[in-house]
Amino acid sequence: MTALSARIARTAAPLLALVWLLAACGAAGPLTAPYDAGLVEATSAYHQRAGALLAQLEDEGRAAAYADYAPRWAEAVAGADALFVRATANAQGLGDGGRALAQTINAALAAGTGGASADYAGLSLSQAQYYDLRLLVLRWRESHAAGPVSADVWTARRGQLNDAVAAVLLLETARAGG
Amino acid sequence: MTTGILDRLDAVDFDAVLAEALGAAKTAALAIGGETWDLAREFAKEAAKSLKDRGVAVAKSLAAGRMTEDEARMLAEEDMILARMRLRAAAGLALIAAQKVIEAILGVLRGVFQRVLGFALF
Repeated sequence: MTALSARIARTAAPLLALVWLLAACGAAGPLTAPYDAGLVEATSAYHQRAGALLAQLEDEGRAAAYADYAPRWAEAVAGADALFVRATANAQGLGDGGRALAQTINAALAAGTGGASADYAGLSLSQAQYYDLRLLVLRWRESHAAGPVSADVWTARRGQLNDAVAAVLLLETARAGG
Repeated sequence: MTTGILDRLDAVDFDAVLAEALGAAKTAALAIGGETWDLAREFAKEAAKSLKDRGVAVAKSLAAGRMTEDEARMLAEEDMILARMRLRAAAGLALIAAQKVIEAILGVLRGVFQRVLGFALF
């Protein structure tokens, strides 16, 4: 027994500490929200619809009157809202550890890119991605409502939409193997 | 009961368990880390190229009078939101990799402690 005690003291104690630490991580829940194939599909479908809207605005350029597009903008914002809500539902499966890490990352990114940290408080990384996608769509709508913009601006915004959706889907699909 | 547990505990080679757990972690880190790195590198390359292309396009539009300075400024502000989204995606990939490593270690240790205790510890 003495030999056993000595062995436990020598080798098991650090191992138990490691187990405790990992169990604590496990108890704190997953670090990332679960994969949601439906959300990925909905995001791709949204990309097509929003892309079609921007393409039409690009064709019309400064001739595109906001009043004619108001219903489609409302639809685009509602679609972005729906994606954010779905990401919010998925975030319920995120552990405390994952939430704390997301909070730190989101706050640092907001501070470094001119965003407001408070807007991202309590959001998972996935939620924050959809929040920013929605923010882009809102900005596009606001600028159109403020007055017509050039075709080149809409061309640039089509590129922004592509890059934004790529960033969202990169994070969402990376969880597929989890 | 207690003696049985102590006997089983005595039979466990903790050095081997630790080596196995760390080996599983290393395998997970290498497998996932490799994919993550390739993905992140490609993503960063594409994102940088895309940003540069857009910057050039905006400069040309400005020079040709097809875009106002206000419009160019507005696009630049929107590009900052995009930069935030790209960086967040990269950070998320790192978190996913960390989760895999934790699960790999827990998988090894969970089995050992269940054998020793006769019930699931965690």
